[in-house]
Amino acid sequence: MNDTVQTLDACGTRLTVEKPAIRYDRQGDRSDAERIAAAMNAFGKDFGRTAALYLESCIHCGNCAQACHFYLATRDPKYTPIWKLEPFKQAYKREAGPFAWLYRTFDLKPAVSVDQLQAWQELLYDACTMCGRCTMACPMGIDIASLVGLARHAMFEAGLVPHELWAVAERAAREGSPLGATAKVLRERIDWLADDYDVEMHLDEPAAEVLVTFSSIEIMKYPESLVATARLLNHAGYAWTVCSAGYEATNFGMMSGNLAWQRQATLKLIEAAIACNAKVLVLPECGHAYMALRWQGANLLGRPLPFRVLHISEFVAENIANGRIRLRKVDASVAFHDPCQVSRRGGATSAPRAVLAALGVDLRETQDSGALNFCCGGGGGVIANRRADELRYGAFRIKMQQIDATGAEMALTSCANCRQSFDDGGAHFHWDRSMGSLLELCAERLEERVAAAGKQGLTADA
Amino acid sequence: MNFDKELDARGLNCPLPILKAKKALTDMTSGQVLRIIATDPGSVKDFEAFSKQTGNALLEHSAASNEFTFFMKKK
Amino acid sequence: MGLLEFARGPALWIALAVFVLGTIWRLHGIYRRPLKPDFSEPRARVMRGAGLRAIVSRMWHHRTFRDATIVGTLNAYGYHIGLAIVFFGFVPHIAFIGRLTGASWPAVPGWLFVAGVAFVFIGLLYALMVRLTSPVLRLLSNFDDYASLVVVLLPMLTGMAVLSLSLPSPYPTTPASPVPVAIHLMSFELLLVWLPFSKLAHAFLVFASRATTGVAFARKGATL
Repeated sequence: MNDTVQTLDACGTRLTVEKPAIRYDRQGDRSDAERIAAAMNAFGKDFGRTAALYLESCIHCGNCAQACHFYLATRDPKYTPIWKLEPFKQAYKREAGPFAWLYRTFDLKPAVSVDQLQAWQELLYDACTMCGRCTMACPMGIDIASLVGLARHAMFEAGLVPHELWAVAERAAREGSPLGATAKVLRERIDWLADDYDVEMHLDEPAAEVLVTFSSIEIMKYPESLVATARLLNHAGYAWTVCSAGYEATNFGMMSGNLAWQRQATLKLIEAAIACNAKVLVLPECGHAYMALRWQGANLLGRPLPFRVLHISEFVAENIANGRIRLRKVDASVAFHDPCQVSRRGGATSAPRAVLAALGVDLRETQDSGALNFCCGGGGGVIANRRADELRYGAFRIKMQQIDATGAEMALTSCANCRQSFDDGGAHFHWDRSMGSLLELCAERLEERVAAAGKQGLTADA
Repeated sequence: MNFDKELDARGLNCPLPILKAKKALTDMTSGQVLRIIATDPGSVKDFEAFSKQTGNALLEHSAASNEFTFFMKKK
Repeated sequence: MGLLEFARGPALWIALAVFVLGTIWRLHGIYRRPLKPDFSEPRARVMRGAGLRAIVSRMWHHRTFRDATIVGTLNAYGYHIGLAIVFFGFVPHIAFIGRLTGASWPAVPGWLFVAGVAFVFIGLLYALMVRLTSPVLRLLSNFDDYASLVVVLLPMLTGMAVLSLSLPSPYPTTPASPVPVAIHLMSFELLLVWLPFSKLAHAFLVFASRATTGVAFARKGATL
């Protein structure tokens, strides 16, 4: 069985591995007993105080289902968010809870089996983007999305990750990028972009105020985002650099459930920022990258980060406010899609809106917007998973219809994975719109700047 | 077929052929023809879609050995 | 020893002990588990009160969920408030609590008590009906869910049985028919014993759970 090097499918509307002749949704050659032991061990490590409190508090009201796009699109009760945690809860009550000996002695809950975990793979990975909308609906305040993230640890340890997600996560750990955007490819792209687009780009400067990071999706599929980022930073007059030892902002370790790989990817970014003495690390248009570094990064390091972490939309908003970035107006109506990990989960809901206000657009919020918006359906590794395509399209339709209902001329977002999800979902439904990038629009609308000493100030045309 | 400009996109993987073509076309005047040679098999679909999206007509495309040739007229 | 004497004596003390110790044990089981420190830089400058704010804000749904959840929410408030009125607002119950604690307060007017009883029966039976018919709830529901409903309905039913006997006023400490009262009291003792081990523990867990998420979200500046 070959579950190591899987060929990438880098064309088409979404990036993933080539359609496998045989799916390997079970990794490795271990016995069921070994898999379940590994899962239980991982569960045990994750049953901290917060997870325990949440697992104890569910009252089975079913409200979470009403928030979940996968449930709403299919009306299949198995997609009820808290149901995704059932084996996790079962294991907790039987092994670690305050009445665990009662549960075991009277067999009040059966032991979790490999078959059960296998059946739950679809619920945890195909039908969950960890968007957190369920958390917003729970009357007990349970953060259901965070529990799914924890449960994925056990699934990874048991070798029960969906084929494509495992393949890209493994590739990321091995090569530095899940999608073939190795340091070598990055260098080549940056050289070509700097030349072709006539923009000053900085790679591997020894010191910089700002460390810029990218998402492999941008490097491979939307390279103009790299140009846009450079234009904005040059315009704002910062000393910035990308570092080939720490440029990849995506974190497939986090998405697949491998803590070691998650830590490895995060530490590369942190070490790069420290090495070049950066005061700010800018994350690209990406959702989970924000969650991974802004909110989980310091905890993987074990101490506060010695630099600030900003999503590119926050960086732009801040520099509009302090006058370093000046944008020309755009006379258009815009519907904005909030990347779930940045807005709802990350708390950075107002930054992109401040940028849109500076652009002077007519913002038409979708019916559910900001912290309550609907997920595009592609996050959390779902878009890489071909088996989940139909489910994802059903969920995507909800979002697509909400954007259409605004009647806005343009649709913008600030996450390359959401963009990809809109490209792929849009192609599937023959959508007559396309999703644009807030970052790229900003770069197109930069005011002309007189060149600052030693730096190329650039006009904005691509 | 006559052409006014040539783009050698051999060895480039998507989306690079399209991005380079887009850039080449911006420097051309309406009616001029761009010839693109690519080796990426995905480029056939990409250029068809690009043509439909942008209105730049795809006059002709052919394949020989593992090279694809496109003639695109600027709108 | 008569049944009522038993119910008001050893049975009550055992039930109260199990209720208190069981609750402490369950909370201890949760809070002894390790809590990892959070080194991320908080977005919020001031986080004080975030827990309390979450406890209050989660008492009502976000508007976007209204259509799907309002009936259930109103129904639940109906039977929770009804239970409070019935338990705390009825003369014999106030007398019972008074014998245990010395506290006392005025009873609610008769019509309000009747309304409370009605909201509890209608509410719990509606909740049971939904639990048995909604595909989501049928999948989620387990023994705990159904048993908890029964355990709450039993004091209501046995209480109605007591009420059906004519009640002289003022209500005597030693009722003329002690057995129905004893059964009613013991059904309440069953609830006390059941609470810490079941989903009825949400009575105290709700505060902890909401507050925990409230603090975590406030740190990130995320809307709760």
